Amino acid sequence: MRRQYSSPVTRMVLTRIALGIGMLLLLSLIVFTATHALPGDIARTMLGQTATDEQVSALRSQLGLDRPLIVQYVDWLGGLFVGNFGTSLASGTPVSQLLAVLLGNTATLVLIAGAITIPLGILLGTVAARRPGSAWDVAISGTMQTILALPEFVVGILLVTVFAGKFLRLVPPTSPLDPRMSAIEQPALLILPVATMVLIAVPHLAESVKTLVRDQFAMGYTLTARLAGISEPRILSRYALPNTTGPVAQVVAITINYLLGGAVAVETVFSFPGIGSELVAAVSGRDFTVVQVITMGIATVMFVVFTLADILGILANPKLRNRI
Amino acid sequence: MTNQSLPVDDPSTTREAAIHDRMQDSLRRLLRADPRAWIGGIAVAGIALLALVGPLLVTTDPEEYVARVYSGPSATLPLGADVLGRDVLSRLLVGGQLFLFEGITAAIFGVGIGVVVGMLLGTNRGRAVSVLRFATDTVMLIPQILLVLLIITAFGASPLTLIVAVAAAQILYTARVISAATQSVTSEDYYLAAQALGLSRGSLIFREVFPNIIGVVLVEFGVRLSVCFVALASLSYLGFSGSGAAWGSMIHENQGGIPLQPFAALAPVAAIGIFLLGMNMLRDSLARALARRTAQ
Amino acid sequence: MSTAQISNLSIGIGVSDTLIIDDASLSIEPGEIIGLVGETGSGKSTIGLSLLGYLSPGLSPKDGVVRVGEEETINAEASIGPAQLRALRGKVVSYVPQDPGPSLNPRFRLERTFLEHMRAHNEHDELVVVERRRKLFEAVGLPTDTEFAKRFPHELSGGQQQRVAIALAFAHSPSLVVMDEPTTGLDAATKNLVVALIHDLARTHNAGIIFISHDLELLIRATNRLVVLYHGRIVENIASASVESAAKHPYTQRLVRSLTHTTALTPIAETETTPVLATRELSVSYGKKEVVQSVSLAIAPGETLGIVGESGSGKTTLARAIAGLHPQHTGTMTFAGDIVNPAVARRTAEQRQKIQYVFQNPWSALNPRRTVGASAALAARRLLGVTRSEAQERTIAAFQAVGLRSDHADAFPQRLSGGQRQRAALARALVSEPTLLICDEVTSSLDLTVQAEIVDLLRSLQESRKLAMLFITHDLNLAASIAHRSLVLYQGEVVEEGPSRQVLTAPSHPYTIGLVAHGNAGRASFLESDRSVS
Repeated sequence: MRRQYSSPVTRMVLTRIALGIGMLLLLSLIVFTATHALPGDIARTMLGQTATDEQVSALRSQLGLDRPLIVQYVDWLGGLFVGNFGTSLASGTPVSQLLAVLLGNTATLVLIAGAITIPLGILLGTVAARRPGSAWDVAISGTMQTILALPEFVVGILLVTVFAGKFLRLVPPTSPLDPRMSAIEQPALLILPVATMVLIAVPHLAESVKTLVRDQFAMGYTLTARLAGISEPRILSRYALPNTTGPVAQVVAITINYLLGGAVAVETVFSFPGIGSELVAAVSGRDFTVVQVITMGIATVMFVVFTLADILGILANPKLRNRI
Repeated sequence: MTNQSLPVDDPSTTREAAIHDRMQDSLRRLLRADPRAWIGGIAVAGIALLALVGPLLVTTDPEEYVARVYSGPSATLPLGADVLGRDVLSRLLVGGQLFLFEGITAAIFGVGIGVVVGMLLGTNRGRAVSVLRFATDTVMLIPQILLVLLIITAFGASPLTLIVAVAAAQILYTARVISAATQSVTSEDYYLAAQALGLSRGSLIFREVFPNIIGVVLVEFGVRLSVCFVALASLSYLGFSGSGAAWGSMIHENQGGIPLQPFAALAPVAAIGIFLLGMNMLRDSLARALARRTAQ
Repeated sequence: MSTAQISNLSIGIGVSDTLIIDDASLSIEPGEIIGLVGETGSGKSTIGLSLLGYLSPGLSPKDGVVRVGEEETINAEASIGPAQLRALRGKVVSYVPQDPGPSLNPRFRLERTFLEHMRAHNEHDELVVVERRRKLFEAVGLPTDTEFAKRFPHELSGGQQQRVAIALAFAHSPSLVVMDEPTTGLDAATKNLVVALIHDLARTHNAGIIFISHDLELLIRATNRLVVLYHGRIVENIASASVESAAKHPYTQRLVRSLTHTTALTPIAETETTPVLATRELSVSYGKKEVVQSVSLAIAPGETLGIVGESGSGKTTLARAIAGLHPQHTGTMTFAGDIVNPAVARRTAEQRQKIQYVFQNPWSALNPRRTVGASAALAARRLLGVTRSEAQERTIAAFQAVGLRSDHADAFPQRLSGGQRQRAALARALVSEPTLLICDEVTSSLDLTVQAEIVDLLRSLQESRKLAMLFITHDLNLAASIAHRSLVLYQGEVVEEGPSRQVLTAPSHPYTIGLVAHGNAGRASFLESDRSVS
């Protein structure tokens, strides 16, 4: 008899991871193609129109741009794996060195914002779902719809105007972190950026959670539980909420994606030295090695986040967990 | 029992018909009765009008130094001067036209291509849909703004590249929504019945699928239009506007002067904010009216 | 004292004047089983749920009182507090939902669901709970072992889920149980088991039972008294045994008439003519799974062939394969002697025209963005290649042939009732003058009285047009009333074939015997046979 080596769950998780790696590879191809599809010549762009042809071709061979594209791609991808991220075209410093401090700052920002956003969003969404049409629901939905419509930077600017403007000066209007200290040691400078991130991400999460929980209350088993005399709080905590675990994990993953995207504008609004503001600078300066690394880095983080959400969803579902 | 004696008109029919009639014209009525639609419509129309005819109303050169840096509002400068001493009102009046044009164009192209791709894939049972899923999941690994910035890194920031980048970022999202809607049509029996008539793929799409997903397409266009405007405003704020006086870049330039002369930054913030909020209300109202109509 | 009493109950939508329930009064005695019958939307479920004090969102009581035992669950004058209702629900009055699968929490093992129901009324003692569960599971014919109790709902069959739902309803020995279509979606054998079970439980618990169904035949067998709802009004309240002779309201009379037209047809004489359609060793797959295995059949001109089977037997797949709508199959198929391509798109224009298909669900079969007349006219133009005006004329003729008025052709499907839509779908199929008509459960989504009309219509059309017809159904009696010959499909295989009357009266395969026996025999025996099986 053949031995069963893996349970269905293990197989599903492995499939999911393999699929995710496939996606990362596809994305690396897209990123590489996009940054190498420049109509002009990267070396020419870097040196400016006054450079001689010799200078340009010297730079090209120095950067390895004269090799076949496929070689460049494999070389670049291999470098990403071993942590060799290349050199910034704009500053000449190694990308890893350039991003090290910024990465810490952005991670601090996103982690704090996430730690507030995720519980808050789930809580508000659940409260709004419990009593459809109540003042709570209407107030939460109304506020959320308003914030949801606005770009991140507008929310940031409005916060600056109110809390660091002409009349109130509760907090600094910008957050130029001191690079000699870690971000967490400069809490005053984190307040507005974190507040902006929370404000833009909570509505999204709360609205989705509200829909998911409300759907649960339309399910047959919640009605059956109600008609069996089971109390409302128990229906919420034992029937409705546990059944949303998988979908809520997905929504949380999307919220993290939202926070990472929001970091780009938020960091710029507050002159916060992070990955996002660096990305904007790199795009302006067409510093494509930096753009590539940041894009692939964020994609890798999201791959981990989405995969974890999927695994949680699989584990939370008895139909998948317990297939006979 | 013969055929003639059969009660073909059961009494419920007339009632159903009446309800249906009420629902049909109620789409317009619902919109008219909904204050959100009203307020949203006025906000969008007002800002769009400002952006469109603004350049004709300008009396001062928006690039000229007219007053001390960050001077406050006065009779000649209703909104004061900006970081370089230029007339904020003039810059506000000229800064919206391109923004409006870029957003609408990007949404039309993004949604247009997405709808075609979505319908083609949705009517194609089998691998195509999972390929689309894989592609969308891949692209969704990075936030949309990064995708747009990636394209701008390659081609630089000009009105054309902005439109292309923002439109391109929408295609897969729209295609996914539309292919799902298409699949729900192709699983209906009337689609099978049409297939049994030997209709071509194009006929099936245009006769059977499209008329039944118009509501979804409209709502999707509304969503994508907002997303395009948000993306373009953000890009302009980040310094990728492709033109001189743009609302987004005005905000960026004058942000430091908020404590001194808030109008320089807040006037364009208000223009963008009111426009997007209005659009959101309008879209939401439309989606609700459509949902209520199809629920019948 | 009666178990429950509904007095002059009227229920409306929101604040409007539209009444869903109009002045209904009803009393339920201990141990009594009351059947509640009526068409879709007649208010059956609303009445049932009102006994639990539950109204669907948007509904509100306008008048009257609902009383269970001594407590009120609905009173139009005074609202009943949630705590008071909670104390009644599950304890004094309980509910068996229509669809048992979704009504069980997918995350709970059965023991946990049972525990939650017991705890709701303060029974926390584990030993008592386990003992009660064993007893009830035994009563409903489920395994009583711990291993079974550790299963999740998705690990049960539909019949088992239904039994669990029934066991849960009796957890606290309520004095009233409301069962909302507890047999819908079950096969004939399980259906009868459930009925026997309900009788057993009503007797042993001395509970009043409300049995909601649209299956009149079942209710006559299963209940003591029959209450007929029509447009929100109770139009009949009569002993079940005498309904066939003593029904007074025209709607009830129509219902009864729809039951009694089983006049089996004689097979038409066998001749040497080429069959309209013949298949040899036709096997149809869904993905990798073969759902129809090696079916050979032939239909003579003017003959109706019934295909009988339960849901999942492969009958719809077989019908679609023949129509070319499900091309994934092996074996050969001939139409009028010519080989036909599996895919409808690659068949000849004549084959497409001559083979027509009528779908089960008239709500899905017509494009909601086109008038029903335009749908038929499109078929005429595509299949016959006629001009627009001729297509129009043929459409009008087809509509008249199916008993619709010509102005019905200008209506969008949403404006028509279910029966009218099915007639319109039939008109679309007939407009191209087919020689073979495939009818896939064309009556099953319609209300009883409408079903009978459609069957009569099909019979007269078949005779007047000399149509060959493939009539797919799950109902052996129905097949016998319309088909000359029938074949019985079981798990994708033909297990019985012959003249319909013979299949009905003298079946040979064990499955068919079971099907026929369970349809007619007394109920006591099911319980026995079930116990011996499980």
